[in-house]
Amino acid sequence: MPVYNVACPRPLPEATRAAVAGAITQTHCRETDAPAAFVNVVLMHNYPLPAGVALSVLGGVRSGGNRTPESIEALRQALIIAVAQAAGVEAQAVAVELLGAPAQWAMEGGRVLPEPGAEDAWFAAQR
Amino acid sequence: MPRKMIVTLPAGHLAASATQALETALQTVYARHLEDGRPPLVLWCELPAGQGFVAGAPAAVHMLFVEVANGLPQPQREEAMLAFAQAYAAGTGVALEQPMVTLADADTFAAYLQANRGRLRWAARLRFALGTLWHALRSRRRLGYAQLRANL
Repeated sequence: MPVYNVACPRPLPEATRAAVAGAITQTHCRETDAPAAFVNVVLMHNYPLPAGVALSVLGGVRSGGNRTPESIEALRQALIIAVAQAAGVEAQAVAVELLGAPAQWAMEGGRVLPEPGAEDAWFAAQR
Repeated sequence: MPRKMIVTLPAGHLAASATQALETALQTVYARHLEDGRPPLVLWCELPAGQGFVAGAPAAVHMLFVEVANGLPQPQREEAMLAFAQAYAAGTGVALEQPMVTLADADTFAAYLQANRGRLRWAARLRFALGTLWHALRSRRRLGYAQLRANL
């Protein structure tokens, strides 16, 4: 976690897929200080999105820890801009919705995920 | 309605018979660690190559998204997550560290599915729901397990 599910009306060119996935990953890490290794992106094609929407991003992110409603909203806004740039579309054509879930509901690398902000200790304990 | 479990993995990673065997194993984990009674409905989302990324790079994505009762105690949740990861690793041949396992309370699980439907064009939502159901039933009959479409 996070898992970003990107739906689009038609298949994106491979280069655009990589650019969008990279933009989401970089933005998430920059805005939350989370490690890139946590960021999963999957793309879904041929979704009938509302008129004017070229990409719809549904993100499942960790809540709690050092995250606030304001920081989640800042992440959402940053993702809109980054995804639009990566896909070469207007920001108005990108929809982003984020759903929070407690970190302890998920396991990655065989271990329960840390609270947001406690990643360093989590990785240190792994070594 | 039975509880639901969505398994996302690379398309072609498992043969149909191996998928069926893994489904049984995951349902056994569910019954043992979470709830007895009706087994959960397992939906398989086989992701075509080039549609999964981890850390910004193309990668094989393995995820289990499991619906559980609201307020499940954390020790029970952790035991179940580990058991799911172990069963998945055994059934797919990937490392135990590979799958991401999420056990979400039923309300959160439902909210996620609702958000996925809600982002579609209003007029397409019924067709999406019926198409999803039809594809799951048809794949269940043809392959022995219920598929979710990654691409519509």
